Amino acid sequence: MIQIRNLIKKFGERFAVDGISLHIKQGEIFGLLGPNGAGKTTMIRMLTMLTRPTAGMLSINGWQLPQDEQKVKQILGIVPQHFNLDADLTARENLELHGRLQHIPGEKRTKRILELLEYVELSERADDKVQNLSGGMKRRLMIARALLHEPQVLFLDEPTVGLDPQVRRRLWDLIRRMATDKLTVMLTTHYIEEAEFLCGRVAILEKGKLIALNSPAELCQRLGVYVVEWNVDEGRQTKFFHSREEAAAFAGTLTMTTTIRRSNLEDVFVELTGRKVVD
Amino acid sequence: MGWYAVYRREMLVLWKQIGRMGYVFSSIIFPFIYLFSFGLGLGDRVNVDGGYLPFLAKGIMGVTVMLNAFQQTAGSVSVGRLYFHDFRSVVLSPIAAWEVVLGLVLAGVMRGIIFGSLVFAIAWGAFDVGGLNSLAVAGLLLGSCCFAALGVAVGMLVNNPTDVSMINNFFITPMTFFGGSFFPLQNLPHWIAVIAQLSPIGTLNTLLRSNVWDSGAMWAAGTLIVLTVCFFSWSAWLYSRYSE
Repeated sequence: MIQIRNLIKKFGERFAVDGISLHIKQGEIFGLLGPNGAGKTTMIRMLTMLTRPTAGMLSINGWQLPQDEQKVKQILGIVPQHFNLDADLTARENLELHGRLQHIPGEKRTKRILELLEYVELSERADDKVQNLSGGMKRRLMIARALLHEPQVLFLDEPTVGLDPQVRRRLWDLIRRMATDKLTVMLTTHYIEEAEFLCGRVAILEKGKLIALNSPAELCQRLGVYVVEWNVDEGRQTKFFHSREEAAAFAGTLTMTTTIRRSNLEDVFVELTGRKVVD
Repeated sequence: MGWYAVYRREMLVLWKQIGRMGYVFSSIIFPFIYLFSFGLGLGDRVNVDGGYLPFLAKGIMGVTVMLNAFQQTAGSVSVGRLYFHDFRSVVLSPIAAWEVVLGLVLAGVMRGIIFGSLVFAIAWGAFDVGGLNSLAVAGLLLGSCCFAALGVAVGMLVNNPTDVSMINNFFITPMTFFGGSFFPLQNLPHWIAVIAQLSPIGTLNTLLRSNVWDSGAMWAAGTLIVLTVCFFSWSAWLYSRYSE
């Protein structure tokens, strides 16, 4: 569905994306994970043609970018990181305008707007100005807008950033409901639990480079499913094990207080890069 | 009909803004001040064929067209691109560059016509300035097209919304005062008069104040059309190379 080959983006002398190659299959929920400045948003912007690559090959649904730009734009839905709704307009007006920009005919447009307002649970706020909606509602409206023209690929750039945990959970449920065989979802996040909950596979980026690519479970498996943690003067120490018994046996050899838990993507990231995702 | 979607979006936002009285007032405050300060202060002291007040009213209508078609369009595009990011919804849609620019320019034309007509209506109500002939209507349309197309190009070009004010300082403000809007160009030194005459606002003023479709009016209309085509092509080229 999405083919990326040796993609490079330079801003001046700095590499924002440095030679990344990926293949994302149809129907997959694929996560781009990494700290701020890792190159996640730049990747999404290049795939959505907001930013032109310095070098490399991009193809979506067999169409090449930028040559087939207009065809590709018809099958993409995009939820950007920052709110970019028309604040003076109502939720319905925002959807109506997007429908026109996407060439959806009148009757179908009206029907889809009603369906999607229902889907994202905003029917009762349809005629409220966007400026009067909460952050979570605006994000849901942006998702409805991205789905209006029935895209085949949906890009979600930090879809839950700045939202409280309850709202974030609701959005996760919404994103999982959207993932069908037809819709390919690519999301960027620096929330570990979001990537683990939603994504079939994740790519971990750091400083524009791809440093790991696999399912969250597989990445943890390689590292060791169980972690023993203990504190020393230099800071927190960790050691990974493939079974709980091995971890418990090791913890028994230590004289200080230890914690045994399951490993997660954060551990993978720290092991690979030496720093936390949210640094 | 991709252009219509872009035009409709701009218009919908404009109508919401017009609903706020402050927006309308701020769009015509400078032309309004010019009209009454020059009209009342110099009304019977400047000798112009046909009278100074009709001359001034059409000149100020031209300034209003320029300010609104250019500034509001450049502001809408640059702020949408760089601050609110709502311009991305246009960029991400499958609409050809020329259609996007056409939609934006037509919205700018509407801004120019609405506020230019409003200021002239105020002048018509307050002073004896006569009506608008076909040349003035053509000037209103062509001037709005020219300045709106320039506004799209500038809105696409700037790296900061405040850069638009730099264009105003170096381009729009000198044209406002030296473009023949407030007094006849023959009162200026010859070289300034020639530059002013050739400027977009000087050309627009020529057309607005012409009484018949003579060679001068035809030349002015042709110049505005050529400038519109140039600015339009420039805008479409900039849009087709859009990259954040």
